[in-house]
Amino acid sequence: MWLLQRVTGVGLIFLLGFHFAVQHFIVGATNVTAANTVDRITYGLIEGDHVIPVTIDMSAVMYQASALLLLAFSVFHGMYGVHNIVVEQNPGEKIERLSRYFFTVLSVVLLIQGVLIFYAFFAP
Amino acid sequence: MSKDTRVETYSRGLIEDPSRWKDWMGGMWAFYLHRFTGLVLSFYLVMHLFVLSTGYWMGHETYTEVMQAIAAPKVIHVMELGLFAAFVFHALNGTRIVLFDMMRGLEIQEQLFYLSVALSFAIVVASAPFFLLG
Repeated sequence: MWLLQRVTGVGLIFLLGFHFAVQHFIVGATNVTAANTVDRITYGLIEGDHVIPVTIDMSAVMYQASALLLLAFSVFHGMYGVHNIVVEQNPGEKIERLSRYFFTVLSVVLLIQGVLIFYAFFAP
Repeated sequence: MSKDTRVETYSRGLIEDPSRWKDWMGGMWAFYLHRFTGLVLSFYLVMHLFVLSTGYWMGHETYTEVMQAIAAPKVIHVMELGLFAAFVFHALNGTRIVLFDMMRGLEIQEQLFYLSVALSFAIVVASAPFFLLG
C-alpha cells in the first residue's frame, strides 16, 4: 500500500498535469460542453480556442486510458491519503478499522460513478 | 575523505506539544501543507465526480448547463487557480518525499521544502493567465 501510494503519486503528476493542461489551458473551463466531452472521450479529439488555440487529435485509446487511469489513481491516492491522515492521529484500533471500511466503500462508489460518467460520454 | 552523509538526530520535543507549530521548522510546515493540500484535492475529487455525474444521471443537456453555470463567475476561476496551486505544491513536495524514500536529499530536506514552495509559486504565477483570462 505504501508503495502503491508512491507509484500512483508519481503517475498523478503526469495524469493530473495533463488533465489540467487540457481543461484549463486548451479547452478552457468556460467552454466545456457535453458535445466536446464526447469528442474527447470517444475520439481523443481535443479542440481548444482558449489560451492555446490548438487541436490535438490523439489516439482515442490513449485518451481513454489517461482518463480511466486518472480516475483509478486519483481515487486510490486521495482516499488512502485521507485514511492515512486519520491513522496518523493515533485514534485507536476501532476508529482505524471504521476509517478503512468507510474509505474502501467510498472508493468503490467513486470508481463506479466515475466509470458511469465515462460511459455517459462514450458514444461511438 | 568522503562526506559523512549520516543524518544527525535531535530531540523534537514532545510530539503532543501543541505549541510546536510556533517553532519555525520547514519540515513541519511541509508536513502540514502536504496534509492540507491533500485534503483539499481529495474533497475536490469527490465534489468533481458528483458534479460530473449529472452527465450520467440527468443527461447531456443538463451537464452542459451545469458546467457552463459553474464556470461563469470570475471567483470560480480564482478558486480553480487555488486548486491548481494545491496540486502543484502537492506534486513537488510529493517528489521531495519520494526522494527521501530513496535516501536522497535527507540532509537538505528543509532547503528542498523551500525549493518546492518557490517552484510552486513560479509555476502558479506563470499559469495564472490561463485560468484568469477569458
